This record gives sequence, structure tokens and C-alpha cells, in this order.
Amino acid sequence: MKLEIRNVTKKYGKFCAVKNFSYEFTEGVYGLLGPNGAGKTTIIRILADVLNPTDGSVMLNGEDIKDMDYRYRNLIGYLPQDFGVYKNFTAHRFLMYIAALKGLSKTESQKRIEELLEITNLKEYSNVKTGTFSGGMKRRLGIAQALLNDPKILIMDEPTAGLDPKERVRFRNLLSEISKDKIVILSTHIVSDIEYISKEIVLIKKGEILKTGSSESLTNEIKGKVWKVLTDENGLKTIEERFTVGNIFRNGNKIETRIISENRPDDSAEAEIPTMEDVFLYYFDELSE
Amino acid sequence: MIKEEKKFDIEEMDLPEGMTTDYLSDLFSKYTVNMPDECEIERVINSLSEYIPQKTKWYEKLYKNFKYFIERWNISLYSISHAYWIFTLCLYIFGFYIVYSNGVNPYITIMLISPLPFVLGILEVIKGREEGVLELEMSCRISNREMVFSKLTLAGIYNIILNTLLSIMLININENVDILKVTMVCLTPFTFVSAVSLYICSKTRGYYSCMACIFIWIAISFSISMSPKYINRFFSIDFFQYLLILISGVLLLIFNTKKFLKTNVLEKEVN
Ligand SMILES: Nc1ncnc2c1ncn2[C@@H]1O[C@H](COP(=O)(O)OP(=O)(O)OP(=O)(O)O)[C@@H](O)[C@H]1O
Ligand SMILES: [Mg+2]
Repeated sequence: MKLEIRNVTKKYGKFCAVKNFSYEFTEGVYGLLGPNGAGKTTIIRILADVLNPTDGSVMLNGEDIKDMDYRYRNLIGYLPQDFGVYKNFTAHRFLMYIAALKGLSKTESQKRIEELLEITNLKEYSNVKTGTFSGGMKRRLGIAQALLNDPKILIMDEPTAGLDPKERVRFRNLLSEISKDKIVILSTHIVSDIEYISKEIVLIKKGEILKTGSSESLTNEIKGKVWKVLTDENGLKTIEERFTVGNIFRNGNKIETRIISENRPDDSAEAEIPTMEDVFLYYFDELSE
Repeated sequence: MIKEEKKFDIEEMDLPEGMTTDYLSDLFSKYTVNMPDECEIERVINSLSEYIPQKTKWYEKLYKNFKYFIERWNISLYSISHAYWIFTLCLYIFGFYIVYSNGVNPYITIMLISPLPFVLGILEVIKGREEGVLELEMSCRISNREMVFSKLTLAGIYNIILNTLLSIMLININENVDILKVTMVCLTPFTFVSAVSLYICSKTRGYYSCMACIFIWIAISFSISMSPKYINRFFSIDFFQYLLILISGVLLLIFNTKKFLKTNVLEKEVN
């Protein structure tokens, strides 16, 4: 299976949200990573066939998804970023409704919904109105509905927004379990969501691909650019002016800072092993532009 | 100006050496295609005919369409809230009750409520957009356009059934109620008010503009009920004039339904 974005451009009026974007997905987990307004949602919407690109096309195994129409939508599961529910529906009824829209039979959906409510830890809320759900519960309901038709292509826009750490881990494990024969595309700006499970990470900035690669190769690339510096309150100010600063750890009077810098910032600086968070800071910080 | 015609004559052409006209006609004769004989033509037609799709019988088509709509309507039932059915039903029961016990003018009553189930149905349709479910619905196998159409037809049929039932009941309790007049007074607002509401909602796509349509219609009906001369004048037109009004109402409704489907759904933009 090969899902291909071919020279996709999306304009809102004069503003260009996505510029000549091309990429190829095969089975596995992909993470679209980028700051707010980078164009992740726009690309995700085009992939989910809910938004038409201004230019370019999306092809599945060489066939334009616009020509495939419902045959394509039959293969996907989609979780929008702004996911809404009918407030007076119970969780179960909402899932039955979406299952029907996905063309599942009643008996089929009953079984599947039981499973999914279990997986997403919502079983006890099955007959509770979704209007009373918390943000995280709604998100989990969204994850459940995306999986209803056992999609071959799973597209999720910030799936973990609002999930507590425990649910986040559950979700990550669920994804790595089901992603063997699927194309899974996630967008996020939470690095830890995709750091360990994604085959490839796509860094997006201002509607264009900045860099792609596995988290290993991306972190390897900035090896020798991450430093630990011990300083005090006064020193911190100058450091923040001069460098991209990651975590700041205060320990009494001493302040331990993590700095992204091409060169050794200070004689006392120690080189650190880069993480994906450092990669994010390295590529998306204003200072490095 | 007449263009000078260029004649092509092989005799007059400057042919390269050794290329006589005889040589050329020999060369071209290789490409002559002979007319195939009857037998061969027959054989080709026969072998191709099995690839031509069989004409489906009309009742098979009808059954297919019927099944298709039942399926879609079944799904629509999920997303249309219970409150919608209960409220509209109560509206009709209330309408019947006030005519029956309070002697309110049956024509005015049926005129007022006859388009309401459908317009409230439009409200149910745009609910998805309002509640942010639309984007998700659009990504599903059954297209949003199909669903919107199915919900509208469901609301329309439900509306017509309610109108018919109420008309029959009103005719039964009051011998003075005329069947033609009742039909006129419920079908005319049903088609026109529905069409106008669809038009406004396809322009503004808003929940509130749909509500506004309902209130404006209620206001209009009340002002009509205050001056019965309008309704009397309406009843005095002859049958063919009325037929003309009805046909234009139906056409307007069809036209605006198409418009509504297009603006709401084909334009796949999420705001
Ligand atoms: N409907 C729209 N009309 C006009 N501009 C839009 C529209 N949708 C998005 N944009 C613009 O396109 C750009 C990309 O938006 P998009 O939602 O794709 O970003 P994103 O990467 O998903 O951001 P976030 O992390 O905040 O979700 C933004 O600058 C946004 O203002
Ligand atoms: Mg987004």
C-alpha cells in the first residue's frame, strides 16, 4: 500500500497554507511534527478527503483518491482536530451512528463497539450522554470511532490532546499494536507521542517539509549541538538572550540549563545526547532562523 | 476574401528520382482495407454483445432505489434527535386540539403548522455543522451529501404524512371544511416556506437564520389570520390558477433543495 501526496498546494485566499507538498507513506506510523499554524491540519484534512487541495493530488496505489471517492473513504479512519459530538447522544449511540455512516452492519458494529469501548476505557460510560464527557473522554471516543471500520489508513489530528499520561501511554501502545498492516498518520506538537513509535517523522514549517527521518537519524543529526551548562540567575539571562534554551532545572542557587547551539557555548559546557525535543527546538526556534 | 484553393496533384509534384507514380500507387495498395464480409461482421457483433450491460427491469431499479433510501433513512433516524419527532407530533396534536375544542379556524391552523416539520428538519440537518461533527461525517463512506438529501426527504415525507393526517381529521370533525381548500392551504405554505428556508440556509448556513425563518413564518401567519380577507381572496382563485401556484412552489422547492445540497456539501470547505 502506498499513499502519496503529489505536489499539493492549499491556498486560503491569497494565503498559502501548504506549498507544493510531496510525500509518500507506506505501512507504519508517521508523525507530522510542527509548530502551531505550520499546516499540519490542512495536510491531514486533504488526506482525509474533507478538503480539496488548490493544486496537486493524493494517490493511493497510483489511483487518485478523488476518483476512488467512497472506495477511499471506506479505507480510512479519521479523527479531526476539532472533534465534535452530538451532545444528546450516548457514547454507544454516537458510535452506532458513525458505524452506520461507515457502512457497517448492525451486528458487526455492536461487536466492534463493545471491543472499542473496552480498548479506550469508556465501557462504563457507554450509556452516558457525550455532552457530559470531559475533554479527554471525548478524545477517546474520537479514537474509538476512527477505528470502527478497522481502517487500513488511520489519520489522526492531535489524537492525544487532552489525554492524561496514563491514557497517552495506552494510546501509544495501542497504535504500535495495530499499525503493522496500516498506514498511520499522526499530527502532533507533542514530541513524546511519536518519538518511539513512528517509523518516520516529517518536520513541517510554514506549509513545507523541512526535514524527514526516523527519530534516531534526526537526533543523530544534531549530535554535538546540545549542551548542559551550569549557571546562576544572572548567567541565565545572558544565556537566554544568546541561545535556544531547552529545559531549565533549578537546584538551589545553581541552575542547570539545556542549550541548543552549533558551537560549545561555554568552556564548562558538557555535550548531551540529543532527544526529539531538542530536534524540535533546533528546527523550530526563532533564533535558529 | 476567397482563399486560393490549393490543388494536390501527384502528376505535378516534384518527385525524387526513381519514385514514379506507378511505384507510389503500388506502395499505397498495401494499405488498402477490404470490406469484411457479412459473416465476419456478424461474428464480431455476437462476441461483443455479451459485454453490453443487460437492461435492468424497471421494477428491479425501483427496488434497488427503495432499498437504498430505506438504508439511508435508517441512518438518518440515528442523527435526528428524538425531540424533533416528539415536538412536531405534539404540534399537530395541539393544532387538532385547538380546532376541535376551541373552534379555532382550521384553515389558519393547518396553514401555520404545515411547513414547520420540514423547516425544523433543516435545523436538524445543519446541526452537524453547528456541533462540529460535520468534518467527521464527511470522511465517512456514505457521503455527507447523500445523508443531507436523505434527511431532507425523510423530513419532507414525514411532513406530508402529518399534513395529510391532520387534513383528514379536520375534515372528519367539521363538515364545513372543504377538502380542496385544506389541501391548498397546507401545500402552498409547505412548498414556498420550505423553499425559502432552504434558500436562506444555503446562503447563510446558520442555525439562527433557520430559526428566524420559522419565526417570520409564524408572524406572517398570525398577521394573515388577523385579516381573513386575504385567505378568502386566496380561496376565490380558480383551480388552474391554484395548480400553477402549486407547480411553481414544487419547482422552487426542488431547485432550492439542489442549491442547498451544493452549497452545504459539495464545497468541501471546513471553516
Ligand atoms: N479555513 C481557513 N481559512 C483561512 N486560513 C486558514 C484556514 N484554515 C487554516 N488556515 C491557516 O492556515 C495555516 C495552517 O493552519 P493549520 O490548521 O493547518 O495549522 P496546524 O499546523 O494544524 O496548527 P495547530 O498546531 O495549531 O493545529 C494557519 O496559518 C491558519 O491560519
Ligand atoms: Mg492543527
